[in-house]
Amino acid sequence: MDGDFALALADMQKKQAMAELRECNEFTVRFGLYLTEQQIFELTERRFAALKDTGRVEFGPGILKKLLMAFCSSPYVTQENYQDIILELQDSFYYFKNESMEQISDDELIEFMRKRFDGVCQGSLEYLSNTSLEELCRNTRYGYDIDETDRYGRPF
Amino acid sequence: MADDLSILIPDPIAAVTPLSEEELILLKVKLWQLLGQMTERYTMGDSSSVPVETAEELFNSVCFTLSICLKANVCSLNDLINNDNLLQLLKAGQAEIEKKIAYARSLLLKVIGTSPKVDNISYYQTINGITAFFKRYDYRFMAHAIPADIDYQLCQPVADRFLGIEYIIDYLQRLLVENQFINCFDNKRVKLLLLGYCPDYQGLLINLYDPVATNAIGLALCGKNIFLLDISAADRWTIMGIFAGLNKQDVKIKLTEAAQNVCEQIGITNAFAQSYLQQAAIDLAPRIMTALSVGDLSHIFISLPIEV
Repeated sequence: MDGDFALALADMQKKQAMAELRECNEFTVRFGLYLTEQQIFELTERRFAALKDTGRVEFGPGILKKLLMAFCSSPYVTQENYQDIILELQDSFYYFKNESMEQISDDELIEFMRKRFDGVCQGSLEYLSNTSLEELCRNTRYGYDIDETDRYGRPF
Repeated sequence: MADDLSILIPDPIAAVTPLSEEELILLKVKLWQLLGQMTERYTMGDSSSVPVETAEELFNSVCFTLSICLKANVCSLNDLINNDNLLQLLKAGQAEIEKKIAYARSLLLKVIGTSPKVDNISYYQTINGITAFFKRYDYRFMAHAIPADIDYQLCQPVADRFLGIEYIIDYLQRLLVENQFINCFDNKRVKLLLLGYCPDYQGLLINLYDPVATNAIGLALCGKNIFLLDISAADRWTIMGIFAGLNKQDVKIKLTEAAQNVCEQIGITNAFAQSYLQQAAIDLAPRIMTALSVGDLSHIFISLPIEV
């Protein structure tokens, strides 16, 4: 019965999350981006897997809506790679929330991810995860400032 | 995590008012919603997710606070199940915790005022640690936690079921009983006894009450003046004679009678203090049985090292 309870709770959260993603389509469609029902389902399923993998618990609808709203206007996101990018960003988000030891808020982290993704990463999720976010979390843990300039001293 | 309600509904309550499966599920759903609200407050809205460990701690804190409500009869188990707004009950629980914190502070002052005039590092560091507890204790989000360095070992330790401020209150109550008992005896004799018990009593993690209580009980068994605190070799022979041939149960009975005698002589009327000494006496039984088998009680009933 306890297992049924947990499943019922998860089911309720999934339905809530899926409804939110459907609402996001109304905004993202102006950027040529639209999630199908299958994609919404996969994104929602992946959310719970990502939470479980990173040892986190989420109450409420989750971070997907904020990610979609933040990245839908990125020049590097197209309809073809939309779902894959969001999946990858979601995984990175939860991973680096742990790495930052909860010292960075959701909005700050998403803002940083968007800025770097469009900037120095030039649309590369690998560069975003392995360089920019690693640097951010390391500096946060040690209390250092983030270098927001390139090698010529120009801001990103 | 949401399955473990043992902090909220400990076994005694569960045995008296068992919940049906449906009631349990309803309670868990409400606790989960309350946990979501508390998590949002904890992160101040900055994070939609938290590590599982943090969520578990917040859940335990919520359960502990609501259990305080139940124990104080501010609400019943049915109220928890039927009430749509558990946040109000949580606030009532927090108000009860605030009262307990005030009581614990007054207990700490009494403990400090009755501290034996004996140097013992672990005792005084523990007092400092408990003083710091009141600054560190976050009863809103970590009500079940005990952020204190408590090294001093009590003769009768606090039960594991106690958490948060309840642990501190129980610890201080026991410490107060111990202090008041030790203060009934001459300080010089207490120090000599401790020296005989453990040469480095100032630096080691020993309990100050135990040797004093043990010797007082031993002297009561011999029918001698308990305030002398000195048990000679002859006294130990007398005690061996009293226990010779007795089984463990009879040894415990003798010890309990001696403890009662000590209480009467000192004038201990507080029921908790009496039962505390009696339990300390009963706990001597296994050691006495072992010592009797080798014919040596010198490590239990101590002689003062210098003639007073």
